[in-house]
Amino acid sequence: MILAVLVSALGTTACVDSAVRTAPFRVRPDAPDPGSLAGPFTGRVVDATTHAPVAGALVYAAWTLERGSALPEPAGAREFVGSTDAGGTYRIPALASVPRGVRVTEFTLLVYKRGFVAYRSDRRFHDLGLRMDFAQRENQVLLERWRSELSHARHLRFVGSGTAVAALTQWELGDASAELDGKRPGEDLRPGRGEGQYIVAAQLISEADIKARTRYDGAFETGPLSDEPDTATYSSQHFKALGRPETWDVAIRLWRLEPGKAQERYEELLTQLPGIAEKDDIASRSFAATEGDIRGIGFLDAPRGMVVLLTCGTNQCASIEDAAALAGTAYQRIKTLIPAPGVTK
Amino acid sequence: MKRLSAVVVIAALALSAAPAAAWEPETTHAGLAEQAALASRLHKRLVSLGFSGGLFEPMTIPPADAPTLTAAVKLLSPTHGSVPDARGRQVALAWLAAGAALADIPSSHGANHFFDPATQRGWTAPSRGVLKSLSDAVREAVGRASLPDRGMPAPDWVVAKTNPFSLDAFQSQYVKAVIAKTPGERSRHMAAALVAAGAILHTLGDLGAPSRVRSDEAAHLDPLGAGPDDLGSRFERIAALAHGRLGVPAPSRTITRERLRDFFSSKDGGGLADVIARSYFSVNTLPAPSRIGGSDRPALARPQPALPARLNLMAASRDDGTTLRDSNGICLARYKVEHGVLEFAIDDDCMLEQIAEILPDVAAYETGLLDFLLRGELTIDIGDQVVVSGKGLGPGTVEILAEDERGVRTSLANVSTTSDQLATVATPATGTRIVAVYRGTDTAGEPIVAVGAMPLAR
Repeated sequence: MILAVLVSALGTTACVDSAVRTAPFRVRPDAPDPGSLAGPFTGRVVDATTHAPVAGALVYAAWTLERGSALPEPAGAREFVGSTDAGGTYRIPALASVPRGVRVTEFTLLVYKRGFVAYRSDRRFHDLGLRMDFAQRENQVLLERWRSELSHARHLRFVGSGTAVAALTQWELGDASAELDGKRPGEDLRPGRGEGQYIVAAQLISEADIKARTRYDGAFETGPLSDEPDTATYSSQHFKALGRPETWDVAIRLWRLEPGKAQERYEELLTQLPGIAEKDDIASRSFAATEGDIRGIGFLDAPRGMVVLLTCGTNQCASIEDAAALAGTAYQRIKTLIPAPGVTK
Repeated sequence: MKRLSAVVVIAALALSAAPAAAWEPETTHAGLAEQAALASRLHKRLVSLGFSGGLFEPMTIPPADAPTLTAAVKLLSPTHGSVPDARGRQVALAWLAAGAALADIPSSHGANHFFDPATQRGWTAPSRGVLKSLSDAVREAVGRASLPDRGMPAPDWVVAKTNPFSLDAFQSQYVKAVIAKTPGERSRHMAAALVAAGAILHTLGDLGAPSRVRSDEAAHLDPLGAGPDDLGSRFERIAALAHGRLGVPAPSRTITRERLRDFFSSKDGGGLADVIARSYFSVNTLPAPSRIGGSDRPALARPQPALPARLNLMAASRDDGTTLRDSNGICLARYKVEHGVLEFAIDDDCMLEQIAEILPDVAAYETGLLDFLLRGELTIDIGDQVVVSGKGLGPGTVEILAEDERGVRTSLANVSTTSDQLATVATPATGTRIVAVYRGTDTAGEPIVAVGAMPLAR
C-alpha cells in the first residue's frame, strides 16, 4: 500500500513516491488498528518500581529506509534524538520527507537512562522476544531498574549504535568485555532477594514529601544515582532539581542487609563521612553530617537490617532539621512497608 | 505455542496489506553474525592480539580514511547496532555486524548470494515464462528494477577479485591488524577485517534460504507491502519480523570444514546449500499439482526432499488440507485436494516453523566459518631467541615484530618459510610483547593467515 502523502509535523510535505510498510504495532494501547510507521509518536516513561515519571531519559528513534526490488538494499535512516520532560513524556514528530524511490520499512524507539534497563519498541530485554505492547500514541514505557546480575554484553547489543547512544553507553563496555572473559564485574548480590518484602529507595520519599517540607516549587528529574547500580541489597533515588545547581538536589540511599552487616555498614558511614554528629533520634541509631553545601542524615534500623543515608543540598534543605524531617519520613515509610521481625502485618 | 501464535499475529498484521522471501541484511544477517561471533573464538583472538576489550573493543575507521565504507555504513539504521559514531568509532562486534549488513550494498552484489548445488549456478533473472505468471504490477516493477541477468555463484563470489569484501580482502586487513605500526592503525585494519568477515558470513548465511539454493529466483518477487516496487522474499521478511536482529537464535553447534568452499557446498553434501536444498522446498519448487486417481505421483523439481510413499489424501481432502512434515516434525508444506487435484503450498506458519529450524543451523555454519577464518595460530617461544612455529602450514611468509611500551610495533624479521618451525630471531633487548603473523597456505592448500602473540618477560 502506498501512503500518498506523509504529513510532517515540521510542516514539510513528503515525496509522493514514498512508500511505508504496515506498522507492526497499534495506533493506541487500547485500539486494534495498526499505527503508522511514519508517526508521530507520543508516550510517557515511568519507573517500573515506583511508577514515578522518569525525566531526562534519552529518547532515540530511527526509521529504517530501503530501496530496490527483489534484491533490496539498505537506503539509510532518519533519526530523532530527544529526551523525556519533567513529567516523563516524549513526543516524536512525524517523519518528514524521504528520497524518491525509497521506502520506510521500520520504526524503532529506544529509551535509555543510566541506572535502568533500556526500552526498545520492537523487543523485550529479558528474553529478546517480540514486544507486543508498543503503541504509536499514548505509549507507556516502564523502565526496569538495572540490577548487577544483568548482562552488559546483552544490554549493549540491545541498545544498538549511533552517536547519541554510544556516548551514553560507553561506560558499559568494560563490564561487557569482562563478562566475555568469564569475569563478573561485581559480586552477585542476589542472596536475600525474595526473603521478605523487597523495597527500594524510591519508595521511601517522594517529590511531594520533599516539596511539602521545603516549599520547593520547581521540578525534579528522578532516577537512580549514577555511582553504582541497584542490587538486591542496595538502591538509590536521585531527585535532581531541573535547571538548578546540585545544592537543590536530594538523594536517598538504602542498604538492606543482614542485621549484623547493617551494623557494620552504618559504622563504615560513621567513619567515612565528614562532620558527623551522632543524634540517635531516628530508628535504632542516627547521625547528622555536613560537608560544604550538602547536609546528610543517616540512620540504622537494626531489627530490619536497614541503613539509610539521605543527602540534601543547602538550597533545598535550609536547615539540618529539613533533612532530618525527610529522613524521618523515610523511616516511617519503612515501618509501613516492612513490619518489624516477629510482627505480622 | 502461545509465543508462536503471537508471532503469527504480528506477521499477519504487518503483511496483511501485502506479502514477503532470504535473510534481511540489517536484522537477520546482523543477528546471525553477532551470534556467530559470540560463539566463536573471535573474542579471545582479539584479546590475544592486544585488543583488550575483545568483541567490545572500540575500533575506529576515520571517515576521511575510508569515505566509501563510511558512506555505505551510513545507509544502515543505528538501531540495528552497526553504525559508528561521528568519529567512525564502534565496537568490534558492531563492525562485524556492519559487514554482514553491507554485503547487499550495492544491490547488484545481492545477486551473488545464490547457489544451486544441482546446477552449480547462481542467480539467474526470472525467465519470460516465470514473469508471464506474475501480475502486471509486479512485472512492471521487475522491469523498473533492471535486475542483473546473472549473478556469480556465492562460493565463487567470496573469493572473487571484484568483491570488495572477499577472503583476500579479509586476510590482507587481518595481516595489517597485526603488523601496522601504531595501535590506531591496527585498530582500523582490524575493523576493516571484521567488515569483510561479516560480509563473507552474509554470503554463506544467505544459502540458508531454500529459494536461493533451488534456483527459485521468482520467490524474491513477492510484494512486501510498501508500494509496487517493494518486492522481495516473503520467507526472509517473515524471518525478520519474527526474529529481528536480537531474536536470532544462537548456533545449534559449530560446523567444521577443511575448505572454505565446503561450508557452501561439498561433494559429501555437507555444505549449507546442499543441506538446505535437499531438506526444504521453496514456494516455486513445490511438488507439482497432480490429479488424484491417476498413476502419476506429483512431479518434483529436485529429487529431495522426497515425498513419503503414501500421502494422506483423506486428510488432504478436508477443507483445511493437511501437512507434510519431515522426520523431525517440521512443516515442509501443506497439501490439499480440491476438485480432484492435489496441490502443495507453504503458508506463513509453515515458513515460521522452517525458519526456527534453519536459523540455528545457519548460525552454526557461520560460527564454523568465522573460526575457519581465524584458525591459524602461531606458537612463540621466547628464550635467548624468539622461535615462531605453527602446525599445518605450507609455504608462506612470516613476519616477527616487537611491541614497545607505547604500543608501537617494529619488524624484527620477515622471511619466506616452508617448515613448521617458521622463523627464529634474536630476542630484542627492549619491548613488552612479541607478535608474529604468517600468510600462506595450509596443508589443504587453502589460503591462511596465522597469528600469535607472547608477552616479553623482563
